[in-house]
Amino acid sequence: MRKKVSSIVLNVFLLLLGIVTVYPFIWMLCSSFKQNKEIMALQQHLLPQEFTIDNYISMNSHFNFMRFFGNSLFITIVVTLLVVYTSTICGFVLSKYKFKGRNILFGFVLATMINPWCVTIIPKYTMI
Amino acid sequence: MFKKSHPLQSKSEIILRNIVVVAMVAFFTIFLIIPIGIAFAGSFHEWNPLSGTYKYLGLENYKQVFTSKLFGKSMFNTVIFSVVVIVFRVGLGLGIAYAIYSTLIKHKSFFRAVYYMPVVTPMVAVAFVWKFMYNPQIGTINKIFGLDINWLMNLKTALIAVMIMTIWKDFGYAVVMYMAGLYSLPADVMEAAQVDGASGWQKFRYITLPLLKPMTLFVVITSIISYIQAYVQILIMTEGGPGTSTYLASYIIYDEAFVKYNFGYASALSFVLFVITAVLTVLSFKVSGKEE
Repeated sequence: MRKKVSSIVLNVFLLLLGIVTVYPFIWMLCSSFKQNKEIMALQQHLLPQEFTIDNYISMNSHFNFMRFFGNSLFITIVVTLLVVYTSTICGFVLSKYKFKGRNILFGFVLATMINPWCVTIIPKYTMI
Repeated sequence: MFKKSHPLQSKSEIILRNIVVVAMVAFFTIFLIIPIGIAFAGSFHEWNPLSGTYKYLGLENYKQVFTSKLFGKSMFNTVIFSVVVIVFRVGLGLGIAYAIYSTLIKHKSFFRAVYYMPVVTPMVAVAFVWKFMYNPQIGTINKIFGLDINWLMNLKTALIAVMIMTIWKDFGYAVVMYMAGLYSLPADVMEAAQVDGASGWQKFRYITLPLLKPMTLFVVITSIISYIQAYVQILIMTEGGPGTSTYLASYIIYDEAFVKYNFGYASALSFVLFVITAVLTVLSFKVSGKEE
């Protein structure tokens, strides 16, 4: 009995927290079917009062969204493939073989993670 | 760190090793050592790429950093921001992961997926949506709680609002990490505790928590590193305002470098930040003992 109660309490709690987590996404989804004036209106409703899919149709009209998305996709795929390939080899070499300076090299790997982006972004900006 | 190593066996292995080592050294030289060197040199100069100034100043930039009120304020904000967000991230993450892990919950993968959703969403998109939700006139948050607060324009609430958003976005990562940690716990220890008659709390306090220590360390360190570098949410939601109440250390560097183009001063700032990050990381390793 006690187990059942605590199970319900825990489930309800997690569900509530889940709603809080998902709510902004639902809001985003609903707003995508609204017109601009309804999003900005003082009287707010979660569900669109005048259902419209204009936003999706005109997605490409303001700027070339598909092109931008394609760019992102391209970068993602290429970088991921390169990262997986190179880090597998580096990991293999670093863990399998013993050689002078191995710990220093591993230290550099860690340093790239710890190093804040802002330290190297300015030189990289001027280098490119 | 490295427990055992195989001796080199064949010629092709030696060649592979040499190629990889040379490639890594080249990579780190180009993308780590040289940029850091340039930034370090630049921090002693008055450096503006637009007008082409590059004039030696000595320690002037660093003097300015340490006497700057804005930098002090932004460091103060960063400390508050990081501590609060990390405490909530670790606390919520551990608590929720333990709840999902327990036998009381059936739909484990459902909850895990729900909590992980904000983590995989881009920060830019999330920050815009939250900016809308914080809006005093049409925002959802005031509506739901019946409040009348101008969240992002109020000196007292702006930083809190950004912190709430960041916690919302990031706690799912800790949940997933802790769940991975919980599922890899050795089962025999738990059984032994069961036999010895340990209560639920005792099992959590004296067995689960110590065994999860490496995971906590990992979450805390990655959080420290990422929150010291947090600036996207500030850039989109508040731009440091109202006043200087939401300036974070990284945002001030972005502001100096790419808005005001004071590259020299920004380099000095980033070096100070770099040293702080390194010290904090080493400290957390030291405090936590022998791990890693």
